[in-house]
Amino acid sequence: MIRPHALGSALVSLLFAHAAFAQSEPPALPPLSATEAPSAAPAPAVTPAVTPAGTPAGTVPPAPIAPVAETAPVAEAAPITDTPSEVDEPPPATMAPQPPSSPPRLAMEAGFRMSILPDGGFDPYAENDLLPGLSAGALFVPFVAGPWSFGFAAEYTLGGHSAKARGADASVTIHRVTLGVLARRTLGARTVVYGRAAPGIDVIAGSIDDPSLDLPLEVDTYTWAIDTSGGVLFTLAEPSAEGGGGLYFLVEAGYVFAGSAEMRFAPEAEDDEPRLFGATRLPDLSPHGFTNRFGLVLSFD
Amino acid sequence: MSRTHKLAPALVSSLFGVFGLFGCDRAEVWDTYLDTPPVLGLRGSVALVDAEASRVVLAPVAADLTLVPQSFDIGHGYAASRATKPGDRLLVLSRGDVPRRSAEDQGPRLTVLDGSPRPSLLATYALTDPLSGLDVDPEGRFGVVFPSADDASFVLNPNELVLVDLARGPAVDNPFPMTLRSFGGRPQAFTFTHTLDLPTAEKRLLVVQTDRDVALVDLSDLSVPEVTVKLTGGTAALSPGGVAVTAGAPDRTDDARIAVRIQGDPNVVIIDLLPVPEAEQASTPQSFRVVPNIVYVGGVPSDLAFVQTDGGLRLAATVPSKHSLSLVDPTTGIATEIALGAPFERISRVTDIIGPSGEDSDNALLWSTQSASVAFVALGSTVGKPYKSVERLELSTPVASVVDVPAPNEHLKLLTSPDGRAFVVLNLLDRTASPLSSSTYGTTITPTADGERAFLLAPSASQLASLDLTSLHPRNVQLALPIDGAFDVERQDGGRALVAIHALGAIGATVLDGRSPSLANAREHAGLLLGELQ
Repeated sequence: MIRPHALGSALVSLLFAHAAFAQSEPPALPPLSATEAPSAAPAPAVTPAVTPAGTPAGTVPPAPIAPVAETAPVAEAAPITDTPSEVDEPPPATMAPQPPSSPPRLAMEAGFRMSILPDGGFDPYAENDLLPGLSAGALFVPFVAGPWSFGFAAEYTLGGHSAKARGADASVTIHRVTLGVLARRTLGARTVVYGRAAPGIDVIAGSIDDPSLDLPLEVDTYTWAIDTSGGVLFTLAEPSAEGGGGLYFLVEAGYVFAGSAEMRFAPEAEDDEPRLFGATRLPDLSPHGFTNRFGLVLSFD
Repeated sequence: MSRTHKLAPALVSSLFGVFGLFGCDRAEVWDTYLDTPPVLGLRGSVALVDAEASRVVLAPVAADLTLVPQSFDIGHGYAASRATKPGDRLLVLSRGDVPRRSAEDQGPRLTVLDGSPRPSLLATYALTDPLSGLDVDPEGRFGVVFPSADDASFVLNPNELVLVDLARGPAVDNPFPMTLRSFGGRPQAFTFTHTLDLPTAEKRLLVVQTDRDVALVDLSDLSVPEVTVKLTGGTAALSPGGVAVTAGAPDRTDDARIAVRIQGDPNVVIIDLLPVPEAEQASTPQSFRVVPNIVYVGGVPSDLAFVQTDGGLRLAATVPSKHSLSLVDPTTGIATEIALGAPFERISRVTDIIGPSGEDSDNALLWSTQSASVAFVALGSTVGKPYKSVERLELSTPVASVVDVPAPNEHLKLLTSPDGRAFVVLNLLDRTASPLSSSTYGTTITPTADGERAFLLAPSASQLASLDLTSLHPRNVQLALPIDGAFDVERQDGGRALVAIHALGAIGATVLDGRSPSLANAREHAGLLLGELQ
């Protein structure tokens, strides 16, 4: 059965996704190909050439114009004194096709994550199976082989939900820290696909407020998790030649395998609390299930 | 917008949209709000009936006063629950899904759980009809399921009973449905007799009181048709108001009797259970013959008991309107009155506790809700009198109820006042009455199963008191939350625990040491009905 708010959340997600994308559109994109190169920037081949030693500047007759690409700008009155062989060699930046966008090798990422937790242990804390969260992470991809690259990814995800459980206020917060391996492949000039497997730990904190006690019932527990995801990176802004970071948009989906955590709730009493308390065991929670994520990646290389 | 820019939001939208569709509802039980659940005390645990979750939570107590709850499925449609008298078993009746529309819908059933400190499921008996009435044999052998006033099926047979032999597992003949032969009545109350030495064998009977007759069911052979004794002879309906049973003399098999009190009537019906004449034996499936006799007791009786006097077996009937006790010879029907001087309403035979008054003559205790006194009646005869003595003990208030105390203090009776503020610990051996008082109306007193203590509590008050029945020293304990019930149970380590229930939210409990209740080692629990839900 599909609840209206589930569809609503999907719509909100959809709208939010559009909004996030619109905000991330860069104001000025770098040249996509040589034909769009701005004329203000002289091609390296036609910059003022080095004058041969012993030859007084300005006395050499103008050399023939090098055979540059038809749209390459030509510097005005530039004294060309190079040898014919140097002149014949086409400028590399303008003659070769521009290489594919280089994916980030060292980057930070942040985004939103939505998970489906079908486990019954999640029921006390949410009226459906959706767990929203925020994530932040880092990439380090030192190994590059052609269009392929391999590296490491670390991520921290914070998710939480609260609901009424049989009249009591119940909430759960899941902190997930993963560290795993990453494989990427460049597709075209602006797209990179990747897959990763990241084992980690889920630290789970729960709380219940029930009128049958004047203190909240709490639990802090943990279990293992393995995040197996694949995604796409879209280039929003290439890293600049001056060393500025590139900006990417990521969309990811996958499945998280996770262990089962025992949810034994008991009051977290102060040191001076003289009372003794028993525990209440709610269903064990296994935060496994399908997950997806979208966000921004900022590279530093 | 470039192709890339179109692709990204499409991916995001589709992923989150699909996830939204997968956002399934949680289990319905988490959306239920809890009413105050029925709570029953068993020998080794406290039972909380969680009808919304179709389960019973049995909570035994560990040595450190921690509750160790376990959840047991009872099926859909909780109807009723009863514990056997020693608390060894819990019977839970469920109606199932009504009406049943598919094969997946559950049928009615009776679930039997072990009430020991290590609870377990003992048996589940499938029933054919969704009935809501449940009663249990005090000896724990039988359960009876019957239609209650809440049942409203399209077609309902109010005289249909289902007997369950709890000593046997489910079988073709267990549960055993039967329909009482009716003269227009419907079952009102059930009395399981102790073992009676009947003409052919020792048997136990189930006495079913309807609103106009009495039926006797042979519990040793349920296939034998029951015997219905019609009380109404004329146009006026006579309703039974209570029964008393005697097995008769130990060396005879033809003197077992059942006395039936009739509401608002000075007559009592005494049913003799006699041997079947040889001429009739071939024509009747019964092993005894029922012979009813009507005896006049001098006024409308309020209570009955068979007692032994020097003159033989007598039916004792309290007649408050005449301030007397009638002793009726069940053989001749001749009644003899004993003047009591006060309108005593209830009678209890206490010979087993204090011994006979003369040669095999009984002692009886009488009390009244109208008179601030109790009376000890010694039924041994003296010259010119059908009794030996009547000794009255004046109290400060009338007696609303008399509570028996288990051994080793079975010689004590706990008397409560109508307003629940005054109590008397009556010592039958010393004939002393020790008063206790409570500051709160409606206070109740309950002896513990080991007979050593009693605990007192008032509705919705946060105080309870543990009374040592040897020293009569009350120990008051103030808990943090109002108490809605307290139960003395055996702990898993063999000790005793006192479990106070707080019917707030998802139900809390404070567990105290039963023998020495103190907040110093009490353990508080919360959200009991949030737990053990898988």
